[in-house]
Amino acid sequence: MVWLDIGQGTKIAMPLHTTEAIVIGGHDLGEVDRIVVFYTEKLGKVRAVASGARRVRSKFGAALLLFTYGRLVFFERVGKGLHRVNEFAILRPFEKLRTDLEVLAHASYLVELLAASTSDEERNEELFHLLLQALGLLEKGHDSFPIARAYEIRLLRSIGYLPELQSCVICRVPLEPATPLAFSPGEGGLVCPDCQSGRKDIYLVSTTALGFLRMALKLSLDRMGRINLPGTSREELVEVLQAYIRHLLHRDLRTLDFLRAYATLWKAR
Amino acid sequence: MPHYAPSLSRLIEELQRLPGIGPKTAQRLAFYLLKVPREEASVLAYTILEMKDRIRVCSICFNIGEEDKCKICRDGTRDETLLCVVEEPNDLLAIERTREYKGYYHVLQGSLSPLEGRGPEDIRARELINRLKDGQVREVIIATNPNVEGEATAFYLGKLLKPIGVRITRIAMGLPMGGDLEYADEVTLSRALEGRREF
Ligand SMILES: [Zn+2]
Ligand SMILES: [Zn+2]
Repeated sequence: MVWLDIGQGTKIAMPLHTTEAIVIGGHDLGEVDRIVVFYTEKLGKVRAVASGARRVRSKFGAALLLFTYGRLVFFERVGKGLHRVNEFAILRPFEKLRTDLEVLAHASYLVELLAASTSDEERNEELFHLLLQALGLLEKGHDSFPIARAYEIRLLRSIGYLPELQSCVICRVPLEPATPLAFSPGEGGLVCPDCQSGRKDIYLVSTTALGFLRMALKLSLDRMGRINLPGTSREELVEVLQAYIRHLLHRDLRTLDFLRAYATLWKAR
Repeated sequence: MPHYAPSLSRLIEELQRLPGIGPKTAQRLAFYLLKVPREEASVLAYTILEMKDRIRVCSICFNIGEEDKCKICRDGTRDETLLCVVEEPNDLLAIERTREYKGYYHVLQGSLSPLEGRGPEDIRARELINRLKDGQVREVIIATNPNVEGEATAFYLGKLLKPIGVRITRIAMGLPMGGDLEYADEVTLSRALEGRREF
């Protein structure tokens, strides 16, 4: 516990926390400071002020760059106000995620999704390790597609929004693997052929795509990263997962806009 | 929330929109302006409007100035084989302060950021390519910020300009002057090693 003197004999308590953390965002504050958003192992998403972080000779150096994994020490500000970063020691800089624009965009998507779907200071160690592992795989140069999709479905499960993938979400009939299946983002799961008629908010899902999602919940992320999916299944998975995530968040993620704009521009050349 | 006279609270509200100004500072500034003579207040108001009316973006380099072409683009004595690419006019001024650089500039008016949704269409990259078409420029120096957005932008420009065949360089990154080697983090230090030069 640290006591901060705020004048006139008043002292306020500032508990000190130490936890592993990954930088998942941030924005400038005032002239030289920065508010950094971390995903921490012990406290979930944490925002804290890094004083002087934008000075050329800041004590933080390159440590607070996006994706950096490190050991965070911060002062908790009780009540109103922001926490303060005391120290952030790099454990792994994940530098390769920042040097290629496409890799940067894919890794940015992972952190943006995590930031958008979690509240401040809700501990979730599983999500912390999921992100850490996914970033590691992207840095090693794995195909970002299966990693991102497996990451999405596991994140959804971890925050309690796993879509129904075993039986029809409407009539609850267990689904046979061979039946032509569809997914409803609004209902939050698979819909059987009987319940599909007349519905417009549904996306067709092939057995391959469904198999991928079920497998992603069981196998490790790095095994999922080696799966080679055919183009049609890739499209299905993106459509289904992104429609469901958009339905949950009530908005589009900025990174997806970026990736779309980048792809169109690059193709047009 | 105290109730101020409507015109005063409107001013406080407007001042609060300025970067770095919170409610307390806005109140203090508003009360200060309340006490200054009318002429002084009108000079301030007029100066803001005059600046807004006069400042324009240079049609060549996108720096700011008061003419169609900025002062630097009008200066015929600079080295036309060098073009330095920066994010904002402020960065241009910072490089000018060194008095080391004698070439011309290109201001991107921003940087790429996947997380903020700022894509290639949001920077003046197309205009940069157009400036390189006549073959006068021999070297493009990319001087975007040494942060994630600046690096992403540099990477993108490198890829974009490669087919043109112009020499592309990136300003050196690494240790700040006056610092201590042992306190540098590994990312900064490895950048400094990468950017080492013949001595
Ligand atoms: Zn059904
Ligand atoms: Zn100019």
